[in-house]
Amino acid sequence: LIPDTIDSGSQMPRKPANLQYGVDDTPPVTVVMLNALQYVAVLTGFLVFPLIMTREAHASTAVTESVLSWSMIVLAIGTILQALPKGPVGSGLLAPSVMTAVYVGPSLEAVRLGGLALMSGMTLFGGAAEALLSRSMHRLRFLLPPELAGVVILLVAIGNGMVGYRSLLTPGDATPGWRHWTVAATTMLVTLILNVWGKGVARTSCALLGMVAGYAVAIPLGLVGGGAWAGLSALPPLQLPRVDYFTWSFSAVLIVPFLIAALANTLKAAALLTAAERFADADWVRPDLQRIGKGVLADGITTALSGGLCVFGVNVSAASVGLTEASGVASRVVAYGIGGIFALLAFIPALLHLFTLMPAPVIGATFIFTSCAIIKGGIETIASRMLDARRTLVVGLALLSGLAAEAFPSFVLELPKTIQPLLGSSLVMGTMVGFVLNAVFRIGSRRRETLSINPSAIDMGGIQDFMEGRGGAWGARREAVTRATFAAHQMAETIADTCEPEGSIELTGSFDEFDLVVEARYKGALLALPERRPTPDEILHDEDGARRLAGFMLRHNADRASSVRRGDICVVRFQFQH
Amino acid sequence: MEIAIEQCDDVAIAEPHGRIDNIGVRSFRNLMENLVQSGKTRILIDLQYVTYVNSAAIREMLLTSRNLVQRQGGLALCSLSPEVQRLFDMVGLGAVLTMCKTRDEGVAVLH
Repeated sequence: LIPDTIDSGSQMPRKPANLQYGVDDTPPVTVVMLNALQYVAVLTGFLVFPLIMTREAHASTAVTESVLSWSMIVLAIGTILQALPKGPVGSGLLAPSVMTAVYVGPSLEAVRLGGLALMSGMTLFGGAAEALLSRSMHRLRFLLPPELAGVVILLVAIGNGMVGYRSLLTPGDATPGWRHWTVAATTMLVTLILNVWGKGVARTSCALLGMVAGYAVAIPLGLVGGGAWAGLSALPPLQLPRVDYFTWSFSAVLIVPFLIAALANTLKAAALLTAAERFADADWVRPDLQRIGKGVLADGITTALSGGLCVFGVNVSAASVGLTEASGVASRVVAYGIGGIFALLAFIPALLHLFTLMPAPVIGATFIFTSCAIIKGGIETIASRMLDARRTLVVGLALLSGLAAEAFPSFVLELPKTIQPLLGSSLVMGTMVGFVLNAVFRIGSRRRETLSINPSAIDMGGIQDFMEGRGGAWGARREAVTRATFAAHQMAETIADTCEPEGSIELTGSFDEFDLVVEARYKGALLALPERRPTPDEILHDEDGARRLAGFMLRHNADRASSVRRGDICVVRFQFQH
Repeated sequence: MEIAIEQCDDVAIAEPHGRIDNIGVRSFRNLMENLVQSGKTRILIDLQYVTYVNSAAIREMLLTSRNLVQRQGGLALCSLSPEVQRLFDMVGLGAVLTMCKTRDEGVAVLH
């Protein structure tokens, strides 16, 4: 064997140009704190879920206050756990936790059957199930190809945007009036202006400053309830959350709904972490399921902890992923800042209430803004792959199913409550449809195919169709297929011209998501792949100048190249990292 | 492979369409030889419609360039697609073959 191989360089994550601070960067303290505050302002809107549960459980005001405080502590731990760069838990990404709608249905059922104790026990169970599911993430690589990850990212944006539009268009019982629209327009305008034309801290904190502006307009317009202000002044300045109401119970009847919620949470966390990972790495080509598995484990542990501390189930926040992309700050240091602020809010109830008073048009405008940035990521990820008929259907049907879940919520409400967490969320619904179709369409799809080439009449168009057809069937990246197609063309021509092949050249293409390989087998002289480019004089005057140039081009076009003789068969192989 | 020919002042502009492979390179070679023999000393090759260039085509471009330089003229390439540009970058013959972004830039360089 003739070792004739080139190794590509190591692949370190590279910060995209639109990010001011990457995951590993440490921004100045002002940027960290303003950004952390920005996330906290967005995330506290979801405290409505535990409030619904305590109301349903007829909990006292004191218990409700404690549930909110413990929720803050859970979110603080979850956000920091998720950001841990080393160790078995955490993705190392800025992906804060939030109270999740996925657990609303099963938790309400649990509260009705056995109060907060049953909700807590079953949430603990759900979190443990998610943590267990996270251990299998890295084995599911074939189920989440990048184009499906793109659909999932797009669905994150759509789901998030719809939350925003619901806050804008149906903000409670009353029809939105001019005051509502004035606040929404102020929030949106300030955010957009700072995001597009702002610089430095103004740009990275545009959502926070937009919210502050919206809030400032909402107060004189009377959109922040007067009663709420009175309640605020009655709260103690500092308060330790209580533990005397902590109880847990378990019911076999609720195993299935909580298992489904755990599955939905797993899918959602995986999808959101994929999006976060993509936004943080300019060279992203596919989800790193090892890392995402560690992130989902952090999410499961946090949910289990929320059950342990008798609060509501949590998940990675979709709005936060959009905020990272829009603000240009992906530093995990911000996660530590968020954790600090959450922890502080747990002991200062008045401050926490100030956040929960956020008017609906402010929330709506902010969510719509954060969705825009995610949409771009989804479209780019889908477009990076070549799609054949099967993959086109996976992308199309998954996307449409997700949209259907948003467009026809009444249909989902008529289905059994057990499966509502799966079908009620556009993200979970679309991801599930994509998973299933992708698995089904793998049937009969070969990962290795061969084309016979007649060296005396090379059909260049046929080689092109073969390479592009296989690339589409495999969902390979367009750029890798283009390079592989060049290799196939140039190799066939050079072997035919200079290697005196006897019989046909067997061209094989194979793909395993990490590598696209093009290989030619033929009988004849071995094709040389020189390391050094011939000089212009050698190319022009040496008998084998053009052939050596071809070999040089072939070698350097691929990430790994080899040309070996096995018995009387020559095997020329080019590998393209994918 | 089809090659369109245009004249812009004293620059002959050749615009090949498709692949310059082992078959296409014959037409390309003939055209270059004809242009040089007819006295053209400045040739611009617009590669915007070219999807593939093999080593033989690059050799022809080098040969033509050298011939034209000896006649006090020159050869330039313009409007390379990203894929073809990547090939030329990989080959590293930028010092010998002039590459321009646009046709106007190519004509200006040859003047």
